[in-house]
Amino acid sequence: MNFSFTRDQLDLRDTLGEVLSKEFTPERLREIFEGLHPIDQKAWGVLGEVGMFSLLAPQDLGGLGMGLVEVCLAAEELGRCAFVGPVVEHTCAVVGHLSLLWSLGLAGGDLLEGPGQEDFNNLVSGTKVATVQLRPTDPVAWGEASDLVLLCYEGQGPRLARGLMWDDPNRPRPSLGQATPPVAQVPARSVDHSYQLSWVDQGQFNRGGIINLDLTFPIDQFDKKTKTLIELVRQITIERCTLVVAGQLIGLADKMISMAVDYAKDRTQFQVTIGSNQAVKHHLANSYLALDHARHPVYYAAFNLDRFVEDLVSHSMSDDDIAGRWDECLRDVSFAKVYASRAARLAGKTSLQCHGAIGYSWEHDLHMYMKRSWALANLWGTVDFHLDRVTGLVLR
Amino acid sequence: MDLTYSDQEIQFRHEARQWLTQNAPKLPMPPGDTREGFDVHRAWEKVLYEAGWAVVSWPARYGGRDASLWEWLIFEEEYYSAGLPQRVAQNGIFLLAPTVFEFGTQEQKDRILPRMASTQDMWCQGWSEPNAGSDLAGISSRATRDEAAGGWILDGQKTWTTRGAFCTHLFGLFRTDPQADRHRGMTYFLVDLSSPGITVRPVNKFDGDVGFAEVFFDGVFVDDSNILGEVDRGWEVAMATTGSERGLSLRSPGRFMAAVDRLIDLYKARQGELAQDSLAQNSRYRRQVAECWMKAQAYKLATDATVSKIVAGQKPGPESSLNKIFWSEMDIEIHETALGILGGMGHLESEWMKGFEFSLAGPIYAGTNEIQRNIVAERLLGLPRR
Repeated sequence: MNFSFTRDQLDLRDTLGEVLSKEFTPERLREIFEGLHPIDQKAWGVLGEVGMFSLLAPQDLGGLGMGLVEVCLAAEELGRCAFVGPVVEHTCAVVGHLSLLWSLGLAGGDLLEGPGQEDFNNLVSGTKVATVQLRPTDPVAWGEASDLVLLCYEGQGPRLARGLMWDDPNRPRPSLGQATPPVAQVPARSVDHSYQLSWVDQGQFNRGGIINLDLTFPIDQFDKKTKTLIELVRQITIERCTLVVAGQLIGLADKMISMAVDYAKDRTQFQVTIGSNQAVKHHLANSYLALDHARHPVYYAAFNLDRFVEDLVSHSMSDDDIAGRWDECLRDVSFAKVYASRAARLAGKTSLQCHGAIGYSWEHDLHMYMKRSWALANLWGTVDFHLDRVTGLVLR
Repeated sequence: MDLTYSDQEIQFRHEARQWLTQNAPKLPMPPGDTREGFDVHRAWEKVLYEAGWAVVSWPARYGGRDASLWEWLIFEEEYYSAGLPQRVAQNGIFLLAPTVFEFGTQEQKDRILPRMASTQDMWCQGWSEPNAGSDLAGISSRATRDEAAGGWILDGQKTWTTRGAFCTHLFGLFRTDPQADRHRGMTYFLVDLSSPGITVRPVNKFDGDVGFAEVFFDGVFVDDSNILGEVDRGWEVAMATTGSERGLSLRSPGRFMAAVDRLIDLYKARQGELAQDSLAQNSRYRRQVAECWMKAQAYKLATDATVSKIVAGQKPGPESSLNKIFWSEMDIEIHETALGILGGMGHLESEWMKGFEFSLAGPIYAGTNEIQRNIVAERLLGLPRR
C-alpha cells in the first residue's frame, strides 16, 4: 500500500500547473467568457506540447503510456484555471478510447499506418481538436471548435467524423448552435459562457457527413463476444471521462477556496481582517474538509480503473473477474463524482459568501469558476444518478 | 502509488481473522465504563496481549509484534469486523504510547510500555480542568519543585477524566512556571493514581455509566523520572498526544467500516417494513446508508493517505484536525441512521442507542470541533489568529 504520488507524477502536475498559470490566465478565460474566441488555440497547442493529449496513448503509438491517475492530476490543474475546450473528451474519449481499442487488437493497424495515421498523430499532438458524442441526442461539448468528433453510440462501433463539417463544399454549413436540437426550445448556451455546446444534425450526418477515417469500423463484422468487449471499452471511456471531470471539480474547488482565503486575509471590517472571525474560519474549514475528503476517492477510483484496464489488455481476468471488478469500478467512480461535485458546489457557495458583494459582480472572476463547477457537477451523470448507482452497488 | 495489499499483508489479515474468530470473548460485553464491565474488558485485553495482538505495531520487546502501520490498520479492521468493542486501554496504548515513543527516555519506555501493553497499568488522561476545557493552555493545576526530594509536588484538580475511576495511572499537564507565557511553563507528568494525596471522585456520563472522574491532587509527590519530555515544554509533548487523539491512532477506519457493515445488515433486515410504511421513507434510508458507506470509505482513504506520509517519514500535522471533525460527525450520522431505520423502536436501549449516546461526545472530546475548525483555518489555510 502506498497512497503517495511518485516524483514523476508530481513533476507532471507541477509542470502543467506552471504552464497553465502562464498560458491560461484569468484574463484569457474572461476573453472567452465574453465571447471573443471559442477556445484558446495557443494554450491548446501548449497543452499538446507538454504531452497532455498523449497521456493515455501507448508508447507504441507515440504516446506517453500513462494512466488515469496522471490524467486526474492534470485535470486538477485544468480545473484550477477553468481551462476552456474539450480536453476531457479529446484526451479520454477520443485518444484514450481509440488507443484502448488498438491495444485490444480491435482497431487494426490503422493507427500506425495508412490513412488513419496522420489523423491519429494530429490528435495525440493536439494539432487537431476532437470531441465526442455518446448519444445521438446529446449536445456536444465544444463541437464547433473541434476538427473531429467521435460518434460513440451504444451498440454501434465508434465512428470518427470530421467534426461538424461537411464533405460537400457546395452545401452551406448549417448554423450549428441551432442545428435541430433534440428537444424543442433547448437553449444552446450554458450559463458558463465559456462552455460551448453544439448539436449534431443526425440527418446531415446520415446523408454522407461521416467520413470513415479507417480508424474505426462497422461493428457488425464482429462476433458477439467481441461486440461485448467493444461496448465495455465504450463504458470504460465513459467512466474515465466522468472521473476526469471529478478531477477538474477538485481543482475548481481548490481554486475557489484559495480565492476566498486570499480575500479573507486581505479584507478588513471592524478594524480586523475578516478571516480572523470564527464565522469565516469555520465556513472555509468546512469547505476545505469536503475538498480534502473528496480528493482521495478520485485517485482511488483512478488507480483501480487503471488496473482494470491493464488486466483487460493483458487478458488476465476471467469473465466473472471482469463483472465483479467492473461493478467496483462503477461504484468507486460514482462515489468520487458525488463527492467532487459536492465539494465544488460547497466551495463555490462558501467562496461567494466570504467574498460578499464583490463576489456577486460580473467583474470579479469568481463567477467564472463557480459556473464551470455548476456545469460539470451534473455532466457525465448527475449527482443523483451517481448516488443511486453507489446505493445500488453498496446494497446489492 | 500502489493501492493493493501485499501478500504478506493479506497473510497477516488472514492470521488476525483466524485468531479473533477462535478466541473472541462472549459478546456483547458489559459496558467498559462500569466497574464490572471495565474488569471484563481488561481481562479480554490481557488475552489479546498474551497472544501478541494487543499492540501489534509496537516492537516485540515492549509487547508488540513489529507489525507495520498498514498491518495495524488491517488488525483494527478485523478486530471491529469481529464485533469486538473499543479498547478500555485506548488512552494508554493509542494516546500516551505514541508520545512515549517520541519523547520518552529509554528507561521510561522499558518501564512504562510493557506494563501498559499487558494491562497491568491502565492509563487515563488528565488535561481538562474546571476552568480549562477548550482553552487547554488555561490550566491552573501546578507543580512545585522539591529539589531535595528530586521531584515535584502536584496540586490542583483535573476533570472529565475518562475511566479515571478505574485506571491506575494518569498522564497530565501541570503548570511548572507560573510566570511564563501561557503556552510555556507547563510540564507533562506521569502519575501513579495510588500516590498519597490523590482523591478520585467518579462522575456519571449522561448514559448513566461512570465514564468520568474528577481527580484531586493535594501535595502529590512525583519524581523526576516521571516527567515526559523536558520541564516547561509540556505543551509540545501534549500536542503530539492530541495529534494521535485526533488523527490516526484513536479512531482507526476499521471501527467505522464495521459499523457501516452492521448498518447495511440492519437496513436489509428492515427494508421490507420500511417500504411497507412508506416508499419514500425506504428510499431515503437506502440513500442514507449509502452516504454512511461513502463517509467510512472516504475516511479509510484519507487515513491511507496519512499513513503513506508517515511511512515516508513525514510527521502528521494539523491535518489530524480534519480527521477529527470528519470521524466524529460520521459516527453520529451512522448511529442516527440506524436509529431511524429502527423507527418507533429506535429509542429502546440497544447497542445502537448506546453507540449513539457515545457518538454525541465525539464532537466535544479530543478538542471540540469548533477548536478543530479554528486549527484547520489557521494552520492549514493560514488565516490570521485573533
